[in-house]
Amino acid sequence: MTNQPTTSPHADAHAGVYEKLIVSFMALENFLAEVHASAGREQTIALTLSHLRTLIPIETGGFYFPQEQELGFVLRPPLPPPPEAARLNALVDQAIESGVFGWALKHTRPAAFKSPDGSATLILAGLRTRGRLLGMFAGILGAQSASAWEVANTILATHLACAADAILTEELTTELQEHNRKLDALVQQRTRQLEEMLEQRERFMRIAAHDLRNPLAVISGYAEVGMLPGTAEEAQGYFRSISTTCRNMRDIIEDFLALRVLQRGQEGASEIFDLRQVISQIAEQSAYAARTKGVDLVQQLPDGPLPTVGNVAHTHQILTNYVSNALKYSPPKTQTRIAVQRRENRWRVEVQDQGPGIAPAERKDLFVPFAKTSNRPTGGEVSTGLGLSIVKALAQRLQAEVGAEFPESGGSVFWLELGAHKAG
Amino acid sequence: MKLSIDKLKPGMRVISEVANLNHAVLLPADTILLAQHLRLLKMWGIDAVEVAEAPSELESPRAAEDLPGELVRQAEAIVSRRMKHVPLAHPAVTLVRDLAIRRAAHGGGAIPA
Amino acid sequence: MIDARTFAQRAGDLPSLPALYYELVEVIGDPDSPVETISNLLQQDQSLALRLLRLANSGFYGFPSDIGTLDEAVQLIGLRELQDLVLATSVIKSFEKVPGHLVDVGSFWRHSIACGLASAMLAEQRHDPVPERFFVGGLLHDIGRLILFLNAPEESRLILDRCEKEERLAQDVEVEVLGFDHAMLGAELIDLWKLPQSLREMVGSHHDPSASPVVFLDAFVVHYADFIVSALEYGKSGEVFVSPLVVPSNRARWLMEDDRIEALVTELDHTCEEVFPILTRERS
Repeated sequence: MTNQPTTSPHADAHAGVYEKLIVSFMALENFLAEVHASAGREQTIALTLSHLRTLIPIETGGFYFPQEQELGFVLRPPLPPPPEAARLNALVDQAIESGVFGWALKHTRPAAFKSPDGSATLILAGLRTRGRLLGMFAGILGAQSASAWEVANTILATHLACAADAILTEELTTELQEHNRKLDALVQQRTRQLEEMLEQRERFMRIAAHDLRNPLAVISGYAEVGMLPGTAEEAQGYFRSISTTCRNMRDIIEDFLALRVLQRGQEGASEIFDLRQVISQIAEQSAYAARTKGVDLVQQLPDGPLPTVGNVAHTHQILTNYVSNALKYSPPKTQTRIAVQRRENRWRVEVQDQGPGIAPAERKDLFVPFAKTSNRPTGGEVSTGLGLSIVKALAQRLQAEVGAEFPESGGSVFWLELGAHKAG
Repeated sequence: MKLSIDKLKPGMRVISEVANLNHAVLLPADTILLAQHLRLLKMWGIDAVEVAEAPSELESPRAAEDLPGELVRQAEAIVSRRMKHVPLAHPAVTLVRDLAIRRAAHGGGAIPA
Repeated sequence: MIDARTFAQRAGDLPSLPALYYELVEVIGDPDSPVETISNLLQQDQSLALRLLRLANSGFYGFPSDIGTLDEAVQLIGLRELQDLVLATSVIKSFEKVPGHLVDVGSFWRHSIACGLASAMLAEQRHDPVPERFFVGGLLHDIGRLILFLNAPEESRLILDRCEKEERLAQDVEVEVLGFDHAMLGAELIDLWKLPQSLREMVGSHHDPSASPVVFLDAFVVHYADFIVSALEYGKSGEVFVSPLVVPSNRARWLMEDDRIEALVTELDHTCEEVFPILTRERS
């Protein structure tokens, strides 16, 4: 093929177009690479603005993003110098008022807003990706823009799409990190809670196993002895001991179950009841035990019914615990007194015994699980160490309060304060 | 009643919550409109909002209950015949069919023939 | 019986698109041409220029400010989209002389324009960046019927009578009588006019969108729009019965099962009222 010095103008034109395309694509590639390496939203914005400026005649440009709380759009850094920023904000305000801002936000194409005095044209283009609207680009066009409009549109759209992707990725990454952090903290908290619960359970298991083993040994022993020849009276005595020991074992197991119920968080319903009746019931239940131990159980209640707001079963449990403790630790020929007083809109129930009281050092942990004091039950009964912690948990559910006092004269006063019903 | 954005005034009460196109809530239900709320709505291109006790601005299709039963029955017969080849399996189809019946009962669509 | 392509090629009374349209396509395709050239080109057809201006100011765009000049209109509409709109107006103008005893042309275009608008609205709901092409697809979906009315009036009469008497869908009877239906014929016309492939799919598959796997979404949008405007009787296309809506299992979520359909129909009413006179009447 011979060399032709001239080529047709058609081919020239095509070559020109092709070159322009290459240049445009290279610029875009460059932009993409920079945006991907960007360290954050501010940098992405700065990059986008500077690239756009080389391609479209923008005098002043900026990005508006919705605020965290009220979601109004605000110009974000990097900000143009104050007089220009003010001019941009003023134009954007006008665009908002006229509705063109909102229109550009909803539609997927850039919109041109001419200022009412005709001095400037604002381009508005939404920053959108993956169905989410992130923000709005606003740029004041320099003069002579009309002829470059379509090209400007496409360039704008492409750059904004890249910027939008980068900004969204960054936002999502931050969100994800924050989420992970919260999740970690939550997991740690839950693990701690679980470990505490497990530890509690472990402790109880150990003590209970230990405390159940002894009574079992006792039962076993009596059973062995009972099989030996002996009198009917002796046999009866052995049976009685076995029965008592069984009851003690049952107490331990009941306490354990009660603790589990409380831990599971099952609430008792709130109702209105007569405190007098509850106390009478308990006094009756405990009468035999009191008589056996030689303890005098008395009641000191105000006249008439004592209307109370709370849960009957819980109240019953707490006071039973108090009374049985009092009886457990009281020596014979002492008095255990159940007294009720009115304190404003509450009833204060006190169970006072004349036992050894609690040593000052042991008082602060009294209502804590497995707190065992140095006191020993005076009748050989068993203590699980859980009783008072159950009382405390029950009281919390009742929205009542519990506590213990130790008068100078000796003995203990365990009290319960719960809400009185208005009619009372 | 739905009012278009340029008819809204401060003091009106918004009935149902207004969300933007990202589905984030701009105004919770029962908000009393202030000037800054109006600007916020304009920013997000919200066209119309449901407010309390205001006259209706946009047309809402009249309910079929306003019409005499006979008219509705006739309309239903006509529409059913026209749509006899359309399986009614999907709720989107039934919705359109109901709309068609309502229109026919009102005597044709909003566009003059 | 002949196939759709042959029929289209042999059809004598086949309108062609005005030269202006093809010139516009070329000018738009040239990245060097400034907007002034395009505006000048458009100004050659005064009524077209006016239509575009009115369209830019209509509810179709819902732009809050007034568009005063053709330049601004072109800016708003965008060049790619401008092509589609010029196509739409040209086609409507070309088909004005269809025999009135077969179909009411005004009613036909009312149906087609409504379908076009509904398609564009559905596309916008999906955030499609160029809803105009759906407008054109919806507008042209039944163009095959017009071709039949023009070039096979006797067969068309026969088909219409059978549909009425036997209570059947036109597309089924067309296949029996002609060997093809109006959708296939429309697709062939799109090819003859050298229009984009996606438009061919929208027109050709508007009764059975699943036949077009590649651009299924496009065809489905037009299909759905056609169902809505047929059921609600926006104009008449010459079809008595409503074609079934083919609901694909994996796209079912695109269907509107709530009050969005009412909102769409309300908007459609308003926009139709505005746009119909802009696109069909000669005088401004």
